[in-house]
Amino acid sequence: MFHEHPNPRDAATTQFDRSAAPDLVLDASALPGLRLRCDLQAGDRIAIGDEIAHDRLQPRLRLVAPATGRITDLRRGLGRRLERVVIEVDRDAPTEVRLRPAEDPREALLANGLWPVFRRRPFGRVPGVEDVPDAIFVDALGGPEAAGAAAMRARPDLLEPGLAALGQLSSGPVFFCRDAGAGNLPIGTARAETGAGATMGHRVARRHSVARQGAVWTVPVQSVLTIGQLVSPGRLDFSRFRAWPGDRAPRRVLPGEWCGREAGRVPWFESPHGADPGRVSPPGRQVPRPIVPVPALDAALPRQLRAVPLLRALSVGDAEAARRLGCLDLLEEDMVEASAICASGSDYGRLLRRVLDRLEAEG
Amino acid sequence: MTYAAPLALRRHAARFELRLRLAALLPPVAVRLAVEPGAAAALLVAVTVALGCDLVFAELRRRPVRGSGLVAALILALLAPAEAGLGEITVAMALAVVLGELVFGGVGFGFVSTGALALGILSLSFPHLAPVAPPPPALWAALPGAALLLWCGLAAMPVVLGMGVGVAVAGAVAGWPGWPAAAVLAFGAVFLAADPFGGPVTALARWLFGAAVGALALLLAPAQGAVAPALVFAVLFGNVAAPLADAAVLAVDDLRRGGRHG
Repeated sequence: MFHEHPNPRDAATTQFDRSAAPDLVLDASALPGLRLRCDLQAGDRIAIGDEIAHDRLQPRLRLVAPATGRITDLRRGLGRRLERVVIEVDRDAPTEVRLRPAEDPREALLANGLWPVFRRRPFGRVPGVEDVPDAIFVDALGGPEAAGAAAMRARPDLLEPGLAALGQLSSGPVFFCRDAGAGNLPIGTARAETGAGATMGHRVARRHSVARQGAVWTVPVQSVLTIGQLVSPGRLDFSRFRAWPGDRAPRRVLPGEWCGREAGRVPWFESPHGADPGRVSPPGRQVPRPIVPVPALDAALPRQLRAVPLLRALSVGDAEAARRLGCLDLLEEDMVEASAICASGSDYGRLLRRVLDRLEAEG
Repeated sequence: MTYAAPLALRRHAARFELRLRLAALLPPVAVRLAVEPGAAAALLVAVTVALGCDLVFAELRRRPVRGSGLVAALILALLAPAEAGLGEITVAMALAVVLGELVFGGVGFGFVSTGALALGILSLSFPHLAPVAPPPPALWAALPGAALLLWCGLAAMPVVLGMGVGVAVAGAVAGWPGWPAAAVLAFGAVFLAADPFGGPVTALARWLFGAAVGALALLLAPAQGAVAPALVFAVLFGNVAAPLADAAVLAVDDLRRGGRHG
């Protein structure tokens, strides 16, 4: 069972057992860049692998049900755009479907609802169905307690086929990013990237910067394992949304996410930013405070970037200067440490998003 | 994540900037007061004026009082000559805090080191009141604070090292000033030149800034004379040139990247 804790902090150590399944929830805000069209209704029954929605402009890009169950809540916004789905999972239903082993990984991922695991840099959108990235970065960061590390311990055999499938999607290398000092794993033709830096922004800026041109994708390692299972034994298994079988390590719990606000519900595509709006910025009037240039700030951002000039450009919303200083390598989640260190109290993730949106609109 | 205490200090230094800088300056000020009890009045006036200006601006802008002028007040109390009158201290302190910080919106939004500005205004307005070197015991007492600031990054290491290079080069050309002057220069490097709000923010510009300040301080000082006034004006000159140095470094970055990527 999902144990309720009076203190949300304790929920970080909560364990699921496999016989109990929490509700699954999908917020469309976790899939930036997609306009989802959905023809189902609340109350409909769905089986694992059934289509729930597809992108309005790219119908090949589908979202499928990650579990068998019943839709208990379905919300649409402007233009009947899907905003939120909640699925009540059947306890006894199978948790995987067998498919034919896929020939073309691109078609397999699109058809089986795994395409939205990718994020494209610059700008952090779900890539288009015909996009070919210059490189793919696999995110296995976050220490031994992270969800990705736990998943790799549980199914190390799926890593190599998953990475091989990514290699077919990319026109360039696949970088397998691990924490500095992490050991070796069999990764086939992918390249290990174990340099310094706690964020994917560090790795992208060092190995394949997109600050001037080009585009790369990032993908969490749990998703790579799911992809590995899809292409190699030909099974669609969404159990990465829960604890892996036999694994007792806690998931990486994002503060303010499901554990507190929506106890008992697991997001199905997690917003990588780990912040719900309004969590970071304290309410009330902001008194401007200066940026104190300290070395800790430089370490919080990729070394290839000039940290303090970039933070200043973001603070005043100077999109052009921020672009020249390399902000296109970064996404919101890379700015968490800088926001924590900086004395100005700014939420640099939000400031960066504002600048990225403007740069994207200008083209 | 858990951090060892020194690492935590380094990580949170920016948030405790004012407290750390005051803590670093308190021992030398206390030692100077012990050596020259007459300086107590100047310290009291400088602190009062700094807080008073802060309070007035905080009221006008409806913002909380930050007390950031205190750092400049302590530096002024440490380096002002003993014969400075209270009225003269008041004028220098008020002008420096208002023109160096408050008109820009507070400390960190201006572009000069307020402590150096206060000393510069004092000696410009009242030419007989050039900054003096703190007594040697006060310089010794400043060592732990200097180490603290350097560790936290509130005094930029490249500035201090660059200043060492500048002093060495200028010393080779113009003659070695002697150890007492070198000690004053070292103090000035950490507490005046490496002011986090008065210098450049890119690494290369910091080295250049430090080297220029060090060389200028030595070259502007009269032969065998006091190095403190020259140091103050070298720092102020460096502060004014710092944004240009940063801009130049960023422009070179742009040129290099533009060349590589077409």
